[in-house]
Amino acid sequence: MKIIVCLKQVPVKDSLLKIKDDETWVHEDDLSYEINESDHYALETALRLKEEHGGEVVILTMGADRVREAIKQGLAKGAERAIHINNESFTTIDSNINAKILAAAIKTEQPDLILTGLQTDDYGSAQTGVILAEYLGLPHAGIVMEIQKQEGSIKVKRELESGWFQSVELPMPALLTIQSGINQLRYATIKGIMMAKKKEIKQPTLSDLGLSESDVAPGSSSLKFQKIYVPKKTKQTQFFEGDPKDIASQLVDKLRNEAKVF
Amino acid sequence: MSLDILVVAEQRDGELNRSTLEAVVAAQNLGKDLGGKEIGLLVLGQNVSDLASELTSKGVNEVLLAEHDKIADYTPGGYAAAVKQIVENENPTYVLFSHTYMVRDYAPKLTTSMQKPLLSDCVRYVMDGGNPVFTRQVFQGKVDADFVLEGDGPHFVSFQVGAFNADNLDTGTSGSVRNADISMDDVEIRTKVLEIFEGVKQEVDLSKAERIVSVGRGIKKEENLELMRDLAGVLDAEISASRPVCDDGWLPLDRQVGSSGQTVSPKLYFAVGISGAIQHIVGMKNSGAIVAINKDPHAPIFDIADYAVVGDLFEVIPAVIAELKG
Amino acid sequence: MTQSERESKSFCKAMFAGNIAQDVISPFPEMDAEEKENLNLILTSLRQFAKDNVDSAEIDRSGEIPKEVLEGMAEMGLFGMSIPEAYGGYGFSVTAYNRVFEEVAAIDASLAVTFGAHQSIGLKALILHGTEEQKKKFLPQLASGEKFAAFALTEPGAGSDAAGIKTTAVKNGDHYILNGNKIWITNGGFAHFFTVFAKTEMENGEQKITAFAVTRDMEGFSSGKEEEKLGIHGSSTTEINFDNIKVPAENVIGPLGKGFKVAMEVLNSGRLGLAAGCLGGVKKLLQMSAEHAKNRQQFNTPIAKFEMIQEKITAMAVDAFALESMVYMTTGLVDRGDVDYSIESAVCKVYASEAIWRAIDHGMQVAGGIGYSKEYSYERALRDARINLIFEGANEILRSFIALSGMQEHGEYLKTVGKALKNPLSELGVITDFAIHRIKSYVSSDRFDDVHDSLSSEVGKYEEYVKELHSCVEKALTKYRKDIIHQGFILERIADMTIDLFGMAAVISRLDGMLKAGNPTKVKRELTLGKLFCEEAWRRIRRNSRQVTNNADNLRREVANDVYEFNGYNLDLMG
Repeated sequence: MKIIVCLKQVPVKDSLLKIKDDETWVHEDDLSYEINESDHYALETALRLKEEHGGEVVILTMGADRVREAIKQGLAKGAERAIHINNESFTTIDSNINAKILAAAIKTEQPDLILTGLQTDDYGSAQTGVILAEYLGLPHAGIVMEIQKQEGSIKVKRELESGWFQSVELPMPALLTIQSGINQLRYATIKGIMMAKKKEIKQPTLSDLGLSESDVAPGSSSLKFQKIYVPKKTKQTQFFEGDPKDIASQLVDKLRNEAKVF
Repeated sequence: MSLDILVVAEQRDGELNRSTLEAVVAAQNLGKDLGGKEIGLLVLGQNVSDLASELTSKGVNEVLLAEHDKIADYTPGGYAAAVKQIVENENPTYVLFSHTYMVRDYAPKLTTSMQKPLLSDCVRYVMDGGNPVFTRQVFQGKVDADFVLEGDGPHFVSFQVGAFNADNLDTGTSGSVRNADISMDDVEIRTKVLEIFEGVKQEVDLSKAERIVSVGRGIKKEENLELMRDLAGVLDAEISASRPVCDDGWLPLDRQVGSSGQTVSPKLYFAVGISGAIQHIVGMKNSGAIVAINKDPHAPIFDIADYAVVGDLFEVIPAVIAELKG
Repeated sequence: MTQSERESKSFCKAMFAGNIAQDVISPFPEMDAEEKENLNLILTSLRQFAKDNVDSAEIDRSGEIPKEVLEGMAEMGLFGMSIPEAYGGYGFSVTAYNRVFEEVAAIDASLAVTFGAHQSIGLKALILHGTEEQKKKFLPQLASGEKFAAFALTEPGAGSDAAGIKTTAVKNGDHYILNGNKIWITNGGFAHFFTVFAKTEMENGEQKITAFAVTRDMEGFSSGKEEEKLGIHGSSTTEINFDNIKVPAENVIGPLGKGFKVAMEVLNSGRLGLAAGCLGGVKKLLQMSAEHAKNRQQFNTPIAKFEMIQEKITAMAVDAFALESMVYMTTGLVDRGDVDYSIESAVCKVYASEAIWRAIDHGMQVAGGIGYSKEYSYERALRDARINLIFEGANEILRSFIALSGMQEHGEYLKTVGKALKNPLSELGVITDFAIHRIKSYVSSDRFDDVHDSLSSEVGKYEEYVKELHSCVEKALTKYRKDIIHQGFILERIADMTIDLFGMAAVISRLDGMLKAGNPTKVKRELTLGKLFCEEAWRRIRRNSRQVTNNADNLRREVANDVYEFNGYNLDLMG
């Protein structure tokens, strides 16, 4: 089974974000990056499927040079090879463009399964995976918790809301978006890290993928990004300080007499 | 009649998803702001005409009913195909959804098939020069980003669950049901639905609770739940948790609050050791009084708390219990 | 040829002669790009592992590192990082190994001590001096973490005076009979492999120290109960006893009778590791303290804004920067080979162990009351850090070593006192075996040339005070001659001058490399830290150098003697 895993590198979760003066984005120079959480689970899921059923895991990612670290991490954990579409300029907030590029890279690979994370921790549109499936003309299932491979098809457990689940069967090839926390992530071992250096990282250009700059220009979409900013706090929060006893008496007083929750 | 704003309702087994009415409120607001627009509510499924009739009283101009056995069970292929036909026929300016798990699963497919973008998971909009500017959160709720939609539409927008309050529904208008023709013959449903099941029997209905003590990873160990149960006891509150606590099995899944658990709005929501990931916040932000105790002063839970303590919960909680016991 | 047998360059020793061996430290050593990439991956993996699995408060409380933690680290391959690939390890450079060790120490002190006792010192003698057979036999299972190693030198009567050990190994046919006991053995409770030092009789009848490979399964081996310690509770520290153990002759590590030198080489490596570990601790404390300072409000102001808090934060940051420069300068020298780094590693150890102690002091003060509470990790950090000033060479013996081995070279250079100095040195056991080093012909001068313009004032001060060190050494040797070994007050000042001068050199070399590499605005933070360190360092050096000749040492001696004579303070204002 050939599985492609789409990985995105995002700023680490507790990053201190500083917004640029022109409000176009955050300052990226001082940020540290990590593999997007649900993508990481997608990778783990792919590796487990491969270990159970044989085949290969191919990492697909786009972004600047820095994403090499995420790729290496994936290779160290056991992926066979990687495709890195290295170009800063078209890493956009537009899921459509991102999916279009990923689709172009996947077309020649003919995978049996494509796994993506459910959503990224930076843009968080939760769309790229589903759009990618549509561009590739493949069936998909979103928010996947479990995968069972069958003959020519897969059975997956999807998460619905409020503790409900859905079990569905899809023909392969198919695309699945993976929920975080569905398995235990492995740690890259030094052995894996040393082996990673021999693994292939292909870096196709846009034209290698049969795309032109205009295909990936953000201007063509009717969705226009305006600016980012730190959200205004809508609530007046009262903070209590002091020793625990003081805090407790102030808090209980407010709950009784101001919020009247009893 | 031509519809300006189409809201796509969500149902399972004829039962309306509670957030659909929030999307209707969003549509009503937007309709007013755009100068009195006609609102339609689309109900999809099989044998859902009763629901459709019921929804005529929800303040929309029209309820569109699309029934077919290929959309009896939800599949992304079936839903995307059906909604696409209806949008093409009706040609509304806006198509609005509540950003549910189902919408995440098929809406991007739908919009891509129509070569349109989906502006997903918006938390609000403001009018600017007669046009709405939509806000969605990025970086897990730490930063807001504004977007506009240019051109004629249809524009597809989904709103975060809880972004609008269903209590504000204006039921002044009543509509009628109209059957929307869809042709599903050429639509191949590749996803086979095997079963839909409840992961854990929902034994507690937290949505009815008046007071809730909710615990997060900050309690560190399962043993510390005892202290939280003591607190819940003196507050006469139900106990709930954020996802990681339930994932670890410290509390059953039916006590999980958040996008994958229950949505609650008690009079008192007492969050202990919960940092406030966006997935949790959407499930509780409409609570009355929110108390947050957390060690990390940057925890996002403090942004929505009414009463906050930055500190060690193992010191503060026993003191609160003692104080409540008087 | 072992490290100590070949002639090698020593940057610090050259400074004693007023020379700046710039070719040794410039350019600042840089890690190979591929290893750097691998190192970063290891660090990412290790951090995630620690976040998920290591609970330091629990380790401290229970006095145990959970088995799963050690197994997890073993699975990651961390216990074999520095072991050559031929023996089941990964052959990482000393620099990469120490950078990982730094991270382990930032995670948990007990874990670091366990890790270091295994890899920095426990199995190091095997790597440096083991035979092919020994390496093949022992290293693979130590690399995999299946078994752990320990280093056994210290005895009840032989701490800093390591040459005074009493454990004996008597040749009996094809084996040795080992008798004696060792104390304060880290990993003693569970390690399988021990590098043990014992006295053996040489052909000429002389008793000399030899290193042996001893395993727990040998008959007559036993370990005592766990010591109850102030800190590093999760680490195992026990006595180990040898009761007529039969150790095969093929288990001798290194040349017969050269065990002392083996031990000193291993400890050179250990001290560097310890220094890297302290660096990890300083960085962590700085982060905790800065975060607390920003969050804690008093007088409606975050205390971070108060300058007396800033002073502490700054001091920690400057220490971290200088220490980082010194440690990775030295590990770079080790990786390069052909350099004698014995003084440098001692310098790093002394500076590092004192820097972390200062950091605890500052951090706890910034934290205020909560720093003193068991609920927070400051008090644990305090308990854990204190040992660093004591083990792997107490700072006092290391200061003597720094000053004396520097002056010994200088003594030879001066010729007049060279001979006189050579003998008395043997009185200080630890130091004797370093006497064989020779200063190689340096490409050296008294100038630090071609340094980036932004560093000209630092370079000027550095050059000035290298001359000053040379002059202090000359004065001290002229005045005290062979009695210099008893002049602890003077030795301490000379050692401290050496430490600060090496710090300045490492900082200047690091900054120079960065400035020349490119964009000066990217170096801004480093430049500020480095300049502040140099500013403070030369002032300390100036004070120390003045006190070499102008001091109150006589009063000090008198006070000490009085206290000893009167068994304590023994004065009472009221009576």
